[in-house]
Amino acid sequence: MSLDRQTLIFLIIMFIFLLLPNGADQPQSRAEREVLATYQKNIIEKRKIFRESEYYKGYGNLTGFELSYEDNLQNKNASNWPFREYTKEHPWKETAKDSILPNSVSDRVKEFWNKESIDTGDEESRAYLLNISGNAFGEFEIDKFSKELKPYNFGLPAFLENYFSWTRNDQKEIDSDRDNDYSHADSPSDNTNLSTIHKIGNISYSTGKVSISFSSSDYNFKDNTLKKFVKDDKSRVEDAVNIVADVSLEDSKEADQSHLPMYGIYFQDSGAIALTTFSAKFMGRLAFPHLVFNEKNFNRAKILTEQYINATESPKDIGIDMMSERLSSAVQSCEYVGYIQLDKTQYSKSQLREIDNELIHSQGIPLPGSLPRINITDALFYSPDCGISLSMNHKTEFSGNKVTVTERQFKKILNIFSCMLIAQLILFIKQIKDAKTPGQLSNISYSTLNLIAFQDALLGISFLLLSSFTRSLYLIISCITVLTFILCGIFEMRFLVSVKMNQVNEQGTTWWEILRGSGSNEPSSDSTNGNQNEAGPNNDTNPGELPPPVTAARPQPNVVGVNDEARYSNGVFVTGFALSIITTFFLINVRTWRFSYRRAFEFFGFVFINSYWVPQFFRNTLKNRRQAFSWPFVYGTSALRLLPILYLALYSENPFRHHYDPALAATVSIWVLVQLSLLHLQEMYGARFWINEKWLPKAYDYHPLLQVSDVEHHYVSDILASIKSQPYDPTKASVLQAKVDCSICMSEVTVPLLSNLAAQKLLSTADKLHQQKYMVTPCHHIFHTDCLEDWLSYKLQCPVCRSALPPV
Amino acid sequence: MMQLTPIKGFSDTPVSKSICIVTTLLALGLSIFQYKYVVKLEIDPYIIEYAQYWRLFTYQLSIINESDFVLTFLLWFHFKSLERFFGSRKYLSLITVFWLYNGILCFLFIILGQLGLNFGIFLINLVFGSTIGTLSYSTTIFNSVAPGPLGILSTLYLCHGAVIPRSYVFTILISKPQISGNSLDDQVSPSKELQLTNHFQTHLIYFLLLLNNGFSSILPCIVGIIIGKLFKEDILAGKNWLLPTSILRLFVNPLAWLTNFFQGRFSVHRGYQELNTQNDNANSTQQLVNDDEEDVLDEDRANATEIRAETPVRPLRTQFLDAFRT
Repeated sequence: MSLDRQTLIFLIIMFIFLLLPNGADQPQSRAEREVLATYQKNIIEKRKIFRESEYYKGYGNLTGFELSYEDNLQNKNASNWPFREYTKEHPWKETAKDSILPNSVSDRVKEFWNKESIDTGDEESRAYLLNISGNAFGEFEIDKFSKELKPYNFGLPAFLENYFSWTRNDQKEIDSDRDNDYSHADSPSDNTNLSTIHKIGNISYSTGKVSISFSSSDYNFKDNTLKKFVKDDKSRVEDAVNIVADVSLEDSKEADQSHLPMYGIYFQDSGAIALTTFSAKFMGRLAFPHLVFNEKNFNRAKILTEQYINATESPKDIGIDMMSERLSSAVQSCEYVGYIQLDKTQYSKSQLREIDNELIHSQGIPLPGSLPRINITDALFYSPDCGISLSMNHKTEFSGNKVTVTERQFKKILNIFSCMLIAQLILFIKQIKDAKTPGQLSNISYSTLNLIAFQDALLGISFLLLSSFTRSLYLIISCITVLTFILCGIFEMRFLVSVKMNQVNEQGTTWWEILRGSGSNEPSSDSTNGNQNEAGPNNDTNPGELPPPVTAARPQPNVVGVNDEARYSNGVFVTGFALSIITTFFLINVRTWRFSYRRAFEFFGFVFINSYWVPQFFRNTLKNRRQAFSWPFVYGTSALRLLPILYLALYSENPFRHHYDPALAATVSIWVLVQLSLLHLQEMYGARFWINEKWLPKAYDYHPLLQVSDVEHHYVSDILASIKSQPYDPTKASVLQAKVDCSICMSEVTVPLLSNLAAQKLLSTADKLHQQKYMVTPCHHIFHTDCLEDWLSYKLQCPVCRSALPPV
Repeated sequence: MMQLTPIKGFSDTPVSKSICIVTTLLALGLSIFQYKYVVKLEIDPYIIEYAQYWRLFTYQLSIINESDFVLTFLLWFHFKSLERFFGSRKYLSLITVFWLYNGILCFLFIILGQLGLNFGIFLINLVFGSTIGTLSYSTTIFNSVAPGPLGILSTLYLCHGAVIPRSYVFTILISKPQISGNSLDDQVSPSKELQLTNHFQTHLIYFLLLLNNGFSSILPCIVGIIIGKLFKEDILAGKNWLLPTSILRLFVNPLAWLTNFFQGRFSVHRGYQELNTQNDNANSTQQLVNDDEEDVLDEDRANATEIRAETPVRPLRTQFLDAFRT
């Protein structure tokens, strides 16, 4: 039985669909269901502890927070909790005796964090930022304390531990099935095995780069998800907001990256941010209110955190995948607690509010020249379980722009970019109008156009992808996408196809033949083996001798039908589109490479993509034409394609965060200038100025001296007839004046005929001049020079017999 | 294709053509590049707080919503006959003058309206209020006007009514004609009929435009109508002012103007010298502008014969309409 291809593909796709996991993963076995139920119960219980907590009572029995730092130093067992009683008289204090922060860390934090708090009711004095959604970039270094920090050994709760080892056992069994050499001696439940895994965030280098992207929610009484939990004034918080931060730490080479999703709160009155991670082994969010150093902060943090947790996840929503996610992050990454102090802005609270409003909804209200930035004066990240403390490097700036400011910058750039696209579009339309005749089209290099169109296709596809990610910039990005697709898909594609159609008669010929300008259509078997220049000598006829007669059997040139245009355009479109999509995904992958590789790739890629005039240079040489594209097009296109690269490489404040790289800018622009100067040299000194004349094959001579013997062999009989009819003149016996009709203007051409080679010396200057007045084609048809040259600018084809003609 | 106006397409009306193109491109550009706020005029935040007086001149440049766009576009399209009547240069000059007048007068109008309304409320409070009202300032319906060339179009609408003659009048009977005692003469009661001219489309579109944005579009239209009245009575200063021809050329055909401009300055003399065509062009444009007024009648006649010649078979619609033309 044979399946046809479509059915087979359909079956395969159906099969893949059936195998795909269906989003909501249900617990598969009874054991899993039990674990999940226990986990949910555990969470409800812990949240109860959280709700009842007071600042003086301490963390309570939360996973990961049983031991204080001193307990950890004394290697106490977490299961023996509680170790001490807290009352109002003997409250919990932020010291190593009670807290998980070592004294060295908490003293450092107290030095800079939450020092100065401003009056939030005061609208006019300098204030801290209100909305901190944005990104900050800086450098960090590992803190060195006199006493080394002792890492905690957080354990998972017993039921999760069992579940984890059970799933790992499963995994191991599968592994060992695959690989029988694997020894079973290594117990999977061994805790040492767990800690030897390289954890995310376990920094082994002393300095590196840090970038934090904050996304802040609105005030709890304004935010859509939190609003419903604000019932009275007590649950209203007017000077602090929830934030979610994505902290990314990487070494200076960008080879090792760790991303830590963190939860936290921004206190607007003091410009202080506290952050924490959370996982199955470290209930950072529930203990968060105790991490903020004083009771006032504790109260606000407790309200906001409770509302946030209630709004984002109810215990019933916790599914098996969320549990395993928490579990895997507990196993795979370090826990962190972070403290960040922002700098005061130079604006008052009301001004800041106005600026924020204007940035979100543009009204044309004048903005100050320097928009407020996220400036971090100091920051500290402490990891209890990895025993690491990171501080900001004070020698460098740790700052960045808010999202709204970045979007504004993007908007400006994109507006300018769309104008550039329109300019490119106009240039292309003009160029297409200019180059209409086949003579001009045959000079244009297909590869040059291909490279230009490839750039635009890449742009179009990347903007198409981008348009689905942004909301505020959607309109302009989709407009750019449409413009690029018009430019690339309509105009450039049409131009490409017409050039390709025009040059279709070159298929099967060799470079050598085109150089020679014979334009013959004989299919050459040598042209397929790649080394095309070798084909030259084989096909080269002896100079001086005229090519074989046209009457000899020669293959007809490929007749291009109507369907061929569609065929070519389909072919060009499909290959171009596929190539661009593959390249786009490759480029997305490149973004994650380490810096040095990325930079090398950038150099290579930009130089390659900007070498579009090189093929044209060779094409000019081949066709011996000085100029194919008009100069405005050449300069305009080069400038339009160079400008974005120069902007990225030379303007260090660019919102793409491309590094400052003058070497790249210089390389690319010099490379483009070199290409332009090559084209100019061709314009001035001829297309083949760089090739020694001797290497070139001899071009076809349109003005040969004809001999009677040639005429007798190849030419039409009326020449002979006209000679015979002439009165015989003994003085001019060697030079005959033959008269033929030029089939373009239908008037007479006088052609001097030599009776033999020796008679050449006898030619008068007048005859030599006269030689320039007629042209003889390789197919032995004779025309006036003016007539045929006019015709050749339209079509390189003999008007009489339609065989291809070499260019003049 | 159906012909909305007596003039076919944009033949010999380059200014109207440019205006329609600019209207479309500006509206599209403002919305794509998110610069719509540039053409908004509001007294309270913009003028009082930020002193952005440039808005007086920008707010009439473009409309920002779709229905306004359709209406203004249609009106500009109908006012082609005005361009034929005045000539291109005079027409553009008049639009410029109306633009300045409308910008300034409308601004004065809304400022006075706002202050007057505030004061009126204060007086009412003073007279009827139980407590003595304090003079407090608040924004009123006079605070903002709808963006777009509503004032200019209103002025032109009045010109259109004044200078463009009607080509036919027709009557729609709303109820059955009542036959009175005199059986020889059918008398129709005047309240039950609707008399319309060939201008009724313009009236209809203008009426829609007037009401399209409620009070904020009625305000500039009233100002525009007042200016139009002044223009009709020949008491508007500056109505004889003419734009320089170079600006007209730039507006009508910017690409040609630009190439001309750059060729004059940066031409590279290579091989052979190009003939200087600048003066010729200038002369011909000048001539075109000057001749316009005289040629209008001839052209109409020529066009009419041309259309007749091109379409020997008159469609039913034309036959009907021609029956009304006396």
